[in-house]
Amino acid sequence: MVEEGRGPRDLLPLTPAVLHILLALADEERHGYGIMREVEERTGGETRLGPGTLYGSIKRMLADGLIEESDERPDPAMDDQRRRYYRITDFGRRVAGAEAERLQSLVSAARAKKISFGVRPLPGGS
Amino acid sequence: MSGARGEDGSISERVYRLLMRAYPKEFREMYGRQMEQAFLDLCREETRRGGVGLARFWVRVGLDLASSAIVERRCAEAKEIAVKDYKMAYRSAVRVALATAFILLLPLLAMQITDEVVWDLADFAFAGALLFGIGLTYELVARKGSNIAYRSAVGVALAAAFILVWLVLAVGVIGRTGDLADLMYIGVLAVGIIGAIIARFQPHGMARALFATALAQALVAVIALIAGKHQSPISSVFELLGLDGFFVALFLGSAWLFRYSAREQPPAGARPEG
Repeated sequence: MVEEGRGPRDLLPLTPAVLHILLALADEERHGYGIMREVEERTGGETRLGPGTLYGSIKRMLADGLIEESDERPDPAMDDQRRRYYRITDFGRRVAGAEAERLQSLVSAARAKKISFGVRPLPGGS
Repeated sequence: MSGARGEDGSISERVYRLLMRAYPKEFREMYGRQMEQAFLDLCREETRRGGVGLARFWVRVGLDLASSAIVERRCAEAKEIAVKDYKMAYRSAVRVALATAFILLLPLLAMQITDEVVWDLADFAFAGALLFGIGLTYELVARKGSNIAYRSAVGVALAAAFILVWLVLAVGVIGRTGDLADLMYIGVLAVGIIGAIIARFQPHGMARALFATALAQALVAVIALIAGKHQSPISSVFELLGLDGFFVALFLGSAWLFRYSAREQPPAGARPEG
């Protein structure tokens, strides 16, 4: 399913759900619920992935080679056997990096156009 | 209270399992159990929090389920169509290959009974490739139209292209065999092919593409006459005008059939059958 010779930029832009899942898996392997919790905590409850969105995204990310299923179980004694763990691939890491870069350049463009960022004033701005 | 919560969890689980039928079967088989597990974890957490959290949670889950089920259904449908198209294309290729083999049997048999037909391996390979290519193109393009006029138009255009290529390579149309002026007919076919691609095989656009092809064909005759090719004993004015006129008529006929087809169906109607 994974196409050969594809670069990280070929998959951009990512959907918010896919980027959140990649970020959740960037530091450790997690199961579905673990990903949901990490995203919710990291965004202060602003983003909450539902099971449908999560597993729909996981299906496509597996097909694109962004993540893979892990055979290892970080704590088998504490864990339900039904849970499956996922980890980010090298390609997934590069895609996440490319997306972050894309978003950063977008933010720079917004700053250059003096777009105000929410309620917080820009550092050194009026 | 904790018992009620446990019961709620159980009812919620059953309701969620029921709602999961909105997803395609394949998706449910792959991720159904994991989704249920994630749902139960979330449900337990919300039940622990208490208050209106559970109601809010159900609204969120319901919206997530509805939106993602639509996405997954669309994906499943697209996959199904792709598989169906692949199977149809495969069957078409087999059918055309068999028809090509049958047609090639005719010269092969003729060679056994007469010395008038002399084909070598290259002739068979070329004729086979040409017949297979034209046949497969007909199968794939004609499927895009839902009426007889469209299919006839495709058939006439491809037949004209086939005869033109055959004539040019076998005996030549302009001057002696191998006259470079015959290369102009590549341009004629290119006009038709590029026009068809631009028109995306829609009947309105195809009519224009075939009209342009007819025009290009007529232009070749005019250029040949201006260049004095009719002075060659091999291709007289009559032959040049007659042959090119024959192809112009075929291409115009095809264009007219496409136009007729467009009148019979709206432009969006040019979709695969079945």
